[in-house]
Amino acid sequence: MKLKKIVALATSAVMAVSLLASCGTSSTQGHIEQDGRTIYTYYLNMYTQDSKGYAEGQDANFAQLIREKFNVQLEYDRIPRGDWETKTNLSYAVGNEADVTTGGKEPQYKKWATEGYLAPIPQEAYTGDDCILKDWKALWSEEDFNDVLALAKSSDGELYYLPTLRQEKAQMCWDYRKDVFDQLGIKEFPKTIDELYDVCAKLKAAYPDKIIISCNGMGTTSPGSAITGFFQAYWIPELILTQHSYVDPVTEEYVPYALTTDAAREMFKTLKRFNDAGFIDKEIFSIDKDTFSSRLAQDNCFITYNYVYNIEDFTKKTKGTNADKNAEWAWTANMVTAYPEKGTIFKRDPLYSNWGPAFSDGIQEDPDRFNALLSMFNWFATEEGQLYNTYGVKEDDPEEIKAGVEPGNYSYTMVNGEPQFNPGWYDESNPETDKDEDKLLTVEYGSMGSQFKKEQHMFDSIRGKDVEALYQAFMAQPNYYYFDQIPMRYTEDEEQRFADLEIALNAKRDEYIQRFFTGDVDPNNDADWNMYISDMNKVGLQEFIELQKTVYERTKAEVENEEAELAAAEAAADGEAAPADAAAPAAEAPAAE
Amino acid sequence: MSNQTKKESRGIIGYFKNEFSKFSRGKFLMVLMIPGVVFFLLFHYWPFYGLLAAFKDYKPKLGILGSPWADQYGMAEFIRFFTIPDVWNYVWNTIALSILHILWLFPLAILLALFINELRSQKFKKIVQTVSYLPHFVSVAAVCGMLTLFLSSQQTSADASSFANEGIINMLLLKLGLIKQGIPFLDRANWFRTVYIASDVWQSIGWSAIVYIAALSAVDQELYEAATIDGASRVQKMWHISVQLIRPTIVILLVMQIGKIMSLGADKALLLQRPATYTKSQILSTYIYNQGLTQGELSFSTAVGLFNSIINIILVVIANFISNKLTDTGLW
Amino acid sequence: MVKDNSLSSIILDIVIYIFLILLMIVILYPIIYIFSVSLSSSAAFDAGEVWLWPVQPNLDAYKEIVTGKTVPMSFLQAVINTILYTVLSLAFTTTLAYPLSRSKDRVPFHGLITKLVVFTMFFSAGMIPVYLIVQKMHLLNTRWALILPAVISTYNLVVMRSFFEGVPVELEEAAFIDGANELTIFYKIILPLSKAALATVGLFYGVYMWNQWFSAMLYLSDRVKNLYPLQYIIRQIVMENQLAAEAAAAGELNTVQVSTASLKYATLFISIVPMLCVYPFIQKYFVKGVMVGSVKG
Repeated sequence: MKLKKIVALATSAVMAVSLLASCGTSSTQGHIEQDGRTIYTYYLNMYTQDSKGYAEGQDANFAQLIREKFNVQLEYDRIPRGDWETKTNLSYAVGNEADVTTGGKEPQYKKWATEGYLAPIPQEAYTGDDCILKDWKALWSEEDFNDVLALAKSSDGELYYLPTLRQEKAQMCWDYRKDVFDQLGIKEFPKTIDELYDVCAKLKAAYPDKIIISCNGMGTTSPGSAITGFFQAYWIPELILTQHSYVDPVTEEYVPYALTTDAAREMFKTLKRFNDAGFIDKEIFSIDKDTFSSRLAQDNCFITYNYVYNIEDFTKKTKGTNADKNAEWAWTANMVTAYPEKGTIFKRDPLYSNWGPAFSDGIQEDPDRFNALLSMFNWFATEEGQLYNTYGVKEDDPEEIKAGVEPGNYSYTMVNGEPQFNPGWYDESNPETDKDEDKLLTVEYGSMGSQFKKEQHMFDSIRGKDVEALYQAFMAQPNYYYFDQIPMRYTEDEEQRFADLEIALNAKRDEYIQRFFTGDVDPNNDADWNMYISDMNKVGLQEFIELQKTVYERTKAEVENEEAELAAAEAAADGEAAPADAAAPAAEAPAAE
Repeated sequence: MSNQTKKESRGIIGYFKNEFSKFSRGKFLMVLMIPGVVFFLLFHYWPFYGLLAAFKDYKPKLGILGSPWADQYGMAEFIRFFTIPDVWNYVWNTIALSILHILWLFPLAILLALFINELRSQKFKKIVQTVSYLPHFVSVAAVCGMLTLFLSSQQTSADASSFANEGIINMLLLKLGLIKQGIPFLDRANWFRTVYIASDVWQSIGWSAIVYIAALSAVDQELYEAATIDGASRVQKMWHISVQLIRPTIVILLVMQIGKIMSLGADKALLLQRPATYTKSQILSTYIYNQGLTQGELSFSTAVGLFNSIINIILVVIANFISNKLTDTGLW
Repeated sequence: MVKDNSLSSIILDIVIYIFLILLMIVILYPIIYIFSVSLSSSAAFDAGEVWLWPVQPNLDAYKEIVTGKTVPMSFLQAVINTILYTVLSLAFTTTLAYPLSRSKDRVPFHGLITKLVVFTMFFSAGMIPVYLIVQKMHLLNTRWALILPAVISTYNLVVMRSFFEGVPVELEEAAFIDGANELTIFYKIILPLSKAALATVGLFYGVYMWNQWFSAMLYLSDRVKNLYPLQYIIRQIVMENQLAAEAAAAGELNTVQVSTASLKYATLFISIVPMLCVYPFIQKYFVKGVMVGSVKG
């Protein structure tokens, strides 16, 4: 019978497949004894942007190096960005979290910290000149390091993850179609909102069917992220959509909620004026990268607020199928301001990047195991470690670094004191070899220390030198200001209330940002503006403002306290080396061993 | 078992006696049910203790059972849920979308099945069926990507020299002179439900029709022939024979669908919503998602889930009661 | 079937054909569009030149997929999962649905089990408790984690049950009197009579597994990435665009490789094709009168 056959076939298929489906997870005991040594083992949650670009096994040379040097052995779990939140949170919720997580974000880490999921970095590990994390600490100047601590610590005054140095500068600027500007005789990128309007009007007159200002899709955080260039024109920080509050760099006034102020209203009016004149992409709030590519290819964008290194790509996209097309994108260090007499705002690069490693609570049980890991991360921050993480292995490296690498197969050479990749190791600029298999470096070495790369040369070779040039240009501009980050430490209750209020406020705010833009409600009209304010109040704006004020004042006091204490502790730790220093109140300092 | 309980649970004992008396005849059927019942116990009933998390202040290290009870007599998470600003608006948006989904998709899928059933050309029939069920396999993200592309608009006015900046739909409407200016469908709150439901129908109409097509294939052809001899027209036969015969299927599917009203998933709404449409597009699941609560806060998300389930089950009990009364068919 | 050539019948035919043809156009356009973009050059797509047929047609995207490792492997995994799951699910579902479709007087605990089963359709404990159980059973990072927790869908069980209810009890009674035992009745009479039901529910199960990515995300990790099913890979590809944008917005060194539109759409198309091939097999069982015919025979 036919059915019988099918059943028999199916059954055998099931058997065969169940044999194939083997499970191979091993459990961790925290350490293994090997050759008379203790090797500490860790599970590592690692954030990955790209599921394709890494080696099948673990990085052989890297694994060997950290085992010999630090007694550390890592088992990776690479989590793609799209799954990150779900998977990491789930692993904590069910109690099978990894020992180390790298690639989270500060807000996430702080939340985990208040939930009690994370182990604080012991204070003595970063206090004094001879602490375990001394090289990590030395990534910043002493003053900057104090600022980093102030910002990165949680509400209980403990540090729950290791901030790292920014990999590369990430300030944005205005990019524009230079060929079109030239053709219309516009000599310079405008410096004020009114000038920008005039330039747009000129462009629109020449190309009535075209869009003048667009944006390359800034993700789903908030539609407002498409118009941060306009924020800064009105002295509102670029990061306001997530930070809500700021301290004015000139008046030093604290503004607990920025997007309901008069300056914000002026900005909304301007946006509407630009939109009514047909300058701005009607879909600027929802546009994605693919659509932006289409905009470029169809000459539908002449001005965009963006990263400096994208201009080559923009030019390429604008030429599209026609390589002979006259198209040239350029960047400018001119920021646009609405208050020329007060000055101009640009976004300065943050002091640190906030996706360094964090350690799960359980790791404190064995201090040696914790310290082994900390020393490893500390080494990543040394000159040697950074070079290794960024470039791999060169011929004259010490034996312990070269171990496991076939002689002759080194990834870089020092040429005139600057590292240069050996042929075939990393070449992104060459479109012919722009394939994964040419990016061997991230595959073979230290893919996990990527947070500790600070070598500018590498980014220069990938991005060109424009990033640095832009920074220099900004710094050289007269009357240019930037916003400092302000430390805000929420307690567990405050954090929950903050989150509940924030989501409600964000939703309302985003709704109105878009409605002001489309003209559905008119920021020029007092009744409409009051409706916005009253709707915001309905979802808790006043409570939010109070909360922000409280936390700001308290944190400010805390930070001042801590800095005093830290200075004292440093002095005490130094005091051990030089006992002559009697001024240090040694009793208050934590024991530095 | 003590005497006392025996006395009190006479009804239960009686029930078991009664059930076991069926055993001799039902032995085989009983054995047959074991794997399925084990599955339900293992993967549905065992995890049910997890619902306790809604009333607890969940700490992973202590486990669900070991965690302390939440504040406010264990109701803290529920209170938090009901004090979310605008929460009733989200609940209403969820219900409205679900109901619209049922109102459109059910009749259209049934109509499609009936029409396919009426087709005389076997070849055309096959093509229609195959084609109509294909969209079910296109991922939601891709569907929404295409929608964004097709519905895009720079609000070009009808007298402009070129419509190149409009998506295909607006371009078509402008060329046909049906609208004076391109409509940014996805940015208009009033269009949100239409777009959402229309794309739902596009994606699921053929798929939903399959059950009815299968049910229709079981209809005895003699019934139709007898009706033809009685002089019934084809429309009459469609109504009096086809529809009546698949009625139990329709009713059961409908009741089940009503039980899902509150559990509308976030995927598609998230991909289609824009802040300008929040007044219509923010539903419970997108709110929960946007807040990042689904993963992080077990207690809260369980509480929300429980609330949804309770509403769902109330609706289903009512629907089932009505259908039992009216049509003599029901889920149980 | 008796031919009906009355006016009303002709009008009905016209209505039906217009409806179906319009529907086909609306449904086919996006599908053709996917196919065309997958064959067109990316530059042509950006320039907005693709709207129906491929522009500058080439097979690069398909070549890249076939020579790459991820997509073919995940395709294979999806096929294995789908077959395995469909077979197991059908076995679990029919064996439970059949007794529940029979008279209450014959089956012990009939009412109780029905209620318990239906209850699960509206009440669920949520993701984490189920995850904990999968973990306890050591199913994490195996394909069984995708299959076992979903082996019966209550919805499909109910559909199956109502199909079985349609099989006349008289048939069984007759067989019973002839001396057949319950096993023979189930195996020789009920199942063969329910081919259409098996095909339908089997299709539902197969498609569910084929489209499944969420449980792969939950239960599988990078350590067993060879087990990733196709839809999980597709989701990553489709989402790249958004992820790249988020990374850029966060000021990260952006290494997200955004696939070209043609690659994206080619992968999508590849995920649709198997369904084109499966349906005709299923359709065989939907032919009119299959069941009635066999009842008589």
